[in-house]
Amino acid sequence: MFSKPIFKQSVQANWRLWVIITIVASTILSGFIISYDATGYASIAAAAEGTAFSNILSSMTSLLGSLENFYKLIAVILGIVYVVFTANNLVVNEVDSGSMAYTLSTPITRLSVIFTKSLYLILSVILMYILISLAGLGVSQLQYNNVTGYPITDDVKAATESLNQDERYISERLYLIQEDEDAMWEAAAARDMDTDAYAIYIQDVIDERSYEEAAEIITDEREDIYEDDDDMEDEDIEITTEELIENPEMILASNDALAAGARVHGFSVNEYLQFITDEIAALEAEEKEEAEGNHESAVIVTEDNAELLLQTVVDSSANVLNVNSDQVKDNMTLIKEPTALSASTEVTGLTEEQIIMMANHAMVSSARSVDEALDFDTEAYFWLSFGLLLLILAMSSISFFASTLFNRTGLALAIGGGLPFAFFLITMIQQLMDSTDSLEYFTITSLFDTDTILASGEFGWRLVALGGIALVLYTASNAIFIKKDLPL
Amino acid sequence: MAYINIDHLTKDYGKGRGIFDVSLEINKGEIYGFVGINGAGKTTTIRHMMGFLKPDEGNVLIKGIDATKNSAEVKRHVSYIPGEINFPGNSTGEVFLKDQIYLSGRGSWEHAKELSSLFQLDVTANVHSMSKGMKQKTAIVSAFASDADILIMDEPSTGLDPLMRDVFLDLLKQEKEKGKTIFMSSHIFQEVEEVCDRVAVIRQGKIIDITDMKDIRYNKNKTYRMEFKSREDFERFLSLGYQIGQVKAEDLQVFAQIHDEDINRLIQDLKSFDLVYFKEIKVSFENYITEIFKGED
Repeated sequence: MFSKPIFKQSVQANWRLWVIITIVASTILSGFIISYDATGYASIAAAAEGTAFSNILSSMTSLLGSLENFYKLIAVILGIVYVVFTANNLVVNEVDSGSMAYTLSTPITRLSVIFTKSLYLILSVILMYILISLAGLGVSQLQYNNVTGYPITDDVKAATESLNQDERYISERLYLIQEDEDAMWEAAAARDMDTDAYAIYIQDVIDERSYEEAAEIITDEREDIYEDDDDMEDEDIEITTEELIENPEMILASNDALAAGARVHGFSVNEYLQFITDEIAALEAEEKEEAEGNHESAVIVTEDNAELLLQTVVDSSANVLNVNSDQVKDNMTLIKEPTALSASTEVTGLTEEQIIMMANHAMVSSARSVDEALDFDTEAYFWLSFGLLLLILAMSSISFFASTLFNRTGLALAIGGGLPFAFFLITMIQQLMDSTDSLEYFTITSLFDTDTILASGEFGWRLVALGGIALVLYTASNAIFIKKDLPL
Repeated sequence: MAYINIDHLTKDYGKGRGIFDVSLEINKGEIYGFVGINGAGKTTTIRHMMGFLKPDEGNVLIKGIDATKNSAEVKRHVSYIPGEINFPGNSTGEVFLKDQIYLSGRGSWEHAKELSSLFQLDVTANVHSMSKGMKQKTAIVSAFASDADILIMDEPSTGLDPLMRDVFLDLLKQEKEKGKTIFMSSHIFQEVEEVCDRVAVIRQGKIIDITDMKDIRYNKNKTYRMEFKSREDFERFLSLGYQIGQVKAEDLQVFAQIHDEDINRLIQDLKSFDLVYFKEIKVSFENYITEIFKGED
């Protein structure tokens, strides 16, 4: 069925456009990734927290979320350009011009011709999008080191210089920064924090990572245990980092999890065992304290008033220090200035410790949002890339189908190019205007739902549908071409 | 069984367009001409022979192989020159010729080079920038270089200058001597007359005549036209019992059909007549076709 000479001919006739589109798409994706502003996205997310937008934004605040326009528009239109012209070139153009007569006057069957040409289009699209995805992966890794291993943030870079070590080495052993006073100081400055706040921040990061690593190992172990148990859903088997933070006892049952958690802290397993035990005790104490409602100060900081209190503190500090509020927000350490502190206590009625805690908390959480924004979700990236590939394959099947169905180039272009382009236009309108849900049913681009993929929702059947469209149309194209009358 | 067998082939495009009940038998080693005006159905018939079109009824067997169902197999034995020539790819004539030789699995580049020089074809030109004549030459070289048993050609001499047309016709004759079977459509009657063994005439999708060119070329019944000086001679000649065609009594002219065996007798007889002139009326294929078309109308 496969004809090597036909495949060679197809490559020779179409490689130029393939190379151009592959390079352009890879470059644009790389540009998106390099110019991604983690701090900016994190602050947008912080501003929208608690508002109606927070859900929409939550998928946007990550590096992958910021690529939405690439996946929904740019990669799609570039793909459409490639598949429309190539599909046209492969079949209808040869039929219309009559050059197909030469291919078909040799002992090559029609099936072999059309099968090889379909295969060329499919394989070239697959290769193109694999390369584009790899380019994105590579650039992200080079720029942020966040694909394999932990992101190298500014503080790690600063500490690395001071510790005279490899960036990657330090990013995997943050406790080395904790152990070195100079490194701590440099690192804190790099993240616009004082060492107090930074100490809390880095402890936070280390704690969470140790739980994360432990959670992964516990999940693996549970997967082995429940492998044959049909009653257990994947979700039930999986232990998330959050679940583990609430119930650290689970670590105690697994030696491997203990070892993994200990490594992040730079502890021996015994030290880590002690650490976890302390954590459990602390959690219990906290619960007790909350239940008893023991508070020293007159004003209690709760989730509801924290925002308002922080704003008041910022404003009064700004007032005393004679700067504007935004400058204080950018550099929260200013709140800790003695004059600012006393002004703030007066206005809010909070104790100085509470205000310092609040400032630290604000700095840590904003730093954590930046870290989160830099997180590279490999699984989501895979599904985004795979979904995009399936979408373009489905588009290519439409163009290819039109290219085999019609004998005239103009008609084939009108249908095989017009339809994918119309789908693209609908997507663009959807992106520009937010409430156009009804349009969703008029375009196959809805089947590639980036939001659902980023939110790890149910997107499987949509991708299956895209694959189905491609399979059906390519099969139909082959069947039609074998049977049709050719004006050669 | 004939080498190529077209049997009751019908393809109805509606409104009287198409081909209807076309049956032809082409024998091994003959050059078969296929003649008709534009739109008569020549190309449609040829496309069926190549398996590009699927018949409504009937079939085409080439060397006993069904040209529709098994068209790839048929092409092991067939080379083709399409009516409208456009080459695949975007490289030189040389690349195209080599590709075709490779794809068809027959012929040799050496042979293609010989043919190219025969036709004074520059194979280094890009196939898309070629003139119509160059394209035609390239197509001819490609078809003949691939050394197939059967050549199917749709108006192969279009675009060739008279010199090249002669080269082409000579080539056809040589190929025939090698035992090749050639089926070609044409609307240039002289070239058909010069090379073809048999000719089928198609008109409005139907075969209206199949002629053996020997009957025209080597017709032993010749027509002679003569004019007599006196009415007595004119009357006397008519009474001699020769087969008489047309008679123009007022001009004293007679068209007599004389078999070659009787020519000496005629000349002897004519000695006793007083003639104004005497000449043979040549029957060309063109006249023949014109007569057929007149008869159809």
